[in-house]
Amino acid sequence: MLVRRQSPTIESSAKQTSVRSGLLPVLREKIIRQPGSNILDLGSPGSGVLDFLAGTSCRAYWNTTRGALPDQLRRQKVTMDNLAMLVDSLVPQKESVALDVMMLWHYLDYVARDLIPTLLQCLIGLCRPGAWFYFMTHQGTGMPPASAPLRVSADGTIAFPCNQPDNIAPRHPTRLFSDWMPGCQMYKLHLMQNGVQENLFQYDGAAASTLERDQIEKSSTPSLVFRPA
Amino acid sequence: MFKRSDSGHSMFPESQETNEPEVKETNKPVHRTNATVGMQPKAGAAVIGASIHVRGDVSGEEDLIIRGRVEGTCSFPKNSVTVGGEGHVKANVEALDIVVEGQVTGDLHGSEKVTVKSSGRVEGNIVSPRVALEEGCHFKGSVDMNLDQPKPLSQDKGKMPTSHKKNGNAGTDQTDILTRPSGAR
Repeated sequence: MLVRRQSPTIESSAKQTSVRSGLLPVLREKIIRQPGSNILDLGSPGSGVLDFLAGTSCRAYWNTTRGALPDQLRRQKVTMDNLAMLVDSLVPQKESVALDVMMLWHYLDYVARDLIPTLLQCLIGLCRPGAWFYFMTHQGTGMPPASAPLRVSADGTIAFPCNQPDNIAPRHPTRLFSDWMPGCQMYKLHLMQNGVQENLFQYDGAAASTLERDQIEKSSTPSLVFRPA
Repeated sequence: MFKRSDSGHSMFPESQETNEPEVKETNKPVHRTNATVGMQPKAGAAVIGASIHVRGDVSGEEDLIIRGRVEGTCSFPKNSVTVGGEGHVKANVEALDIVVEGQVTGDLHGSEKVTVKSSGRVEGNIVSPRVALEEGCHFKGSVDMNLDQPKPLSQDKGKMPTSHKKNGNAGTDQTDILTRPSGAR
């Protein structure tokens, strides 16, 4: 009997690469299990994401009036001191919303490394315990200088912009971002076929907000060893 | 078709961007046209012209195209409302079908569908069974994915947003759809 193994689909073209996500379906299940979840999508809104979230009984938030997050950081010359103010502006209704899911997509790859821990801490401060963080990272060849929006399909397929490398293998070492995300536990990690790593973290409500700033600065270099918080 | 409008502002539209001869009739605040610029043609739709500024509650039972400015509320529960590329709406909009090509500050409640075109700019919450956000549109607000039953737009204008904190069923709360984005009006 011929058994056809189902594998992630890679459809490369001159314009974009489509890869099946391994963690978006997992995240969707988590959202469905918690009706009424508040989701902040830091990407650009599109019908694909809406289709993906359809039927999850969630409430999704976007704020694209100032452009994508990395572009804002670059344009406004954000420093550690005014980063929190920018993060506050990302959430349309910050005063009345505690977030359950944060969709960061691939934008951390375009943020200056020294800003990432503080940025993540600010974002964690918007969430309630148990919140999920989904983001992608890429190691290997350099990322494009400008962030291009991803296109997400209802089935969890992600279409990357044209200048993403098709395939990078082997890709190692695996980077784990537990040091970047105090108070969060890594739930799952998935390496997609185009070399992009998906990460799903859960905020466990630990004392992320009480971390001293120097602790964060010390941890700005990502650890290669997974240490549960 | 208006319940109330502020007569302190000019209600006379300037010439419209269409080749239809009837648009030159500039002595009516709202006129009908069979062709619109940059929008789906809607036979018999009423048009608020580009020079018209309405303050108050706008309601009716016919399709509406907004090319001017509207501040207040906009209620067309059985019809479609289209905010044209040059339209500015600062109001909660309730309609069967809502299409945004211009700017809207306020909540959109479409009992069938809400579409934000790539040129559209929305600051507010969207509640509708079907939502389409075209790539490139500017959107600040939320989309309620609890699509089982369309919810009516409340008339309680002064009600403040309810807290979602620690409320696992926040999305099912009727008052949630009243939530206004910060800075919206």
